[in-house]
Amino acid sequence: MKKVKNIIGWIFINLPIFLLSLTCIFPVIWLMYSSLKSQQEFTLSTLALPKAPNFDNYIKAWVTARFDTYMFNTTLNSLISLFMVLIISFSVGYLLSRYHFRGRGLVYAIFLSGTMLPVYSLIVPMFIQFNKLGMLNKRFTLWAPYICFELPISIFLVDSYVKGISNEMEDAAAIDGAGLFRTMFQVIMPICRPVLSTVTILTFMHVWNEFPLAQILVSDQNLKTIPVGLTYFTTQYTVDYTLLMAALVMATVPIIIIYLLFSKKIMEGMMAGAVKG
Amino acid sequence: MICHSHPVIKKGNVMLKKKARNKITLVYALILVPLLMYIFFIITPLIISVIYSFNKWSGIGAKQFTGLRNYDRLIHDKNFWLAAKNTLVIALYAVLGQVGIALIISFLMTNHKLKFREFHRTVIFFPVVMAPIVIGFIWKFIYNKDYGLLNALLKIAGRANWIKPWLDDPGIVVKSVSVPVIWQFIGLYMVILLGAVMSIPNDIFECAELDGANWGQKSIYITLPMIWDTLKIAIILCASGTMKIYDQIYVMTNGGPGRSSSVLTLYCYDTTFRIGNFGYGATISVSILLFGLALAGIIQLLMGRRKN
Repeated sequence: MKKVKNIIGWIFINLPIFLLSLTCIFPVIWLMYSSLKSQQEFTLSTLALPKAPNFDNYIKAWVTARFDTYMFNTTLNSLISLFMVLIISFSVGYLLSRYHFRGRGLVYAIFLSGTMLPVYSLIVPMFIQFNKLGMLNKRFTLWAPYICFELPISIFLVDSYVKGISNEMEDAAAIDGAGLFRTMFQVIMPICRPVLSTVTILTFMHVWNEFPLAQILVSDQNLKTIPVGLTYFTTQYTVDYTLLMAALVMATVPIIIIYLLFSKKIMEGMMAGAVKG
Repeated sequence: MICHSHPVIKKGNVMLKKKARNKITLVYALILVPLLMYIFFIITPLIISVIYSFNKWSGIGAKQFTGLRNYDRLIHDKNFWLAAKNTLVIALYAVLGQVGIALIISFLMTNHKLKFREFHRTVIFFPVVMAPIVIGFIWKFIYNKDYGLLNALLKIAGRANWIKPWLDDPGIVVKSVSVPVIWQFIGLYMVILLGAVMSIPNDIFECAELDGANWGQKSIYITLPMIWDTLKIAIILCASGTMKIYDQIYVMTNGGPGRSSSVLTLYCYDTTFRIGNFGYGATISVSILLFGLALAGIIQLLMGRRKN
């Protein structure tokens, strides 16, 4: 009797979580194997595995649907934003944490106020501002907004990490005659590698997935990013489900790889970013 | 000897002072440049949006100051209130669904019988990192009338009579679009709440076990009060996060059928970029910000009080 009760208890605990996990992973797996089917095969049976898996959809999406352009633009935007976010958030975070100059509290407050602002309440005025300055539809259009939106959380992460490093490192560097730049970038930056890798992953993910700003500030076909490009698949290729699926898989694979490698870091970073608010 | 070296020290002091002053200038410069950039790209638009909300402007030509007319129109705008209502309803579903389910999971995670803890945590968090746009498309496929995953599964389960036009029926569309939103972010709140659960000292649980408390009692009398503050943060984050929902609904229904699944951000986008009414669009932008702040304030008030 007790054994039966134990088994029921075990099922009661494990089944709900198991089912939830299944719903999280199955749609992605379904997407992946369906993208290897032809449109005909997909409409015949939605769930069946592909009989003759082929990469036609991928080739078509890449070549005829301009996915190569989208991929290049998104990659370039991600890399440049990432580089700038790393440099700026590291130096600002470090200096705010080490130098208690006048106005420091105000600087901190201005940067953190941005975390309260939803992007969506800024897209209309940003469009107006960029339009007036003639900065719409340029290769660099999205860089500054992306960098700025990532700064608050990145500065916060660096600042709290540097607080945990003892001053001795800087003292030793000063005795050796190192200037501010050498102390920052050659002594402290290597120590900050764990937090900088968190910043890297978070920034990359956000910029890679970003949609509303890219949708509004860039309308030039040659400069569009992956998320915006995906919405064109439905208007141009309304019925071709498996082609869109192939594009979705390509848009997601880099994220999947990064997640599999760094899932712990991503969770830590997102948690720290969330709980500070 | 001492006397002799004195001028040298003094000279060194001046140099040090000069060096220190240079350093402070450098520090200011290194902070000021990014700060100005940040103010220009984030704070200025905010001010612009407040200014434009008091004006009439169609995107070209001169803007015209109209005082509070945009706000007056907003208050009497049925479409705005429908979008606001939908947003709040989705926010309510999201809080109940995301934080509720995440809370149950974090209770279950304290149970010794649970297997594959690490696996579940990794898998349930995965949708959080996916692009909201991609999530929207995936669920559009899942909900598809003819080739959708959901209807295919219902057929297999012998529940063909449950098959519905999930995204085309105005009566259920708000519920349908809420599900992906809930589903995507359960993992985020799970990780936040689990972080709080893990920081509860283990001996508290051991004491309770010695006193004969079972898992349910431990969850309600120990875990829940100990993570209350984190729970509050999670609910605020979730409610104000849902105020920003856009990408998924844009892809799934674009506010349709008709306006039945319209939300504030979509209405703002349509008003500004489809109809071309920038002044009124800015007014809606400001209202999104105010809604978010008000919601966060109300939740803080409600949950803060219950704690005492």
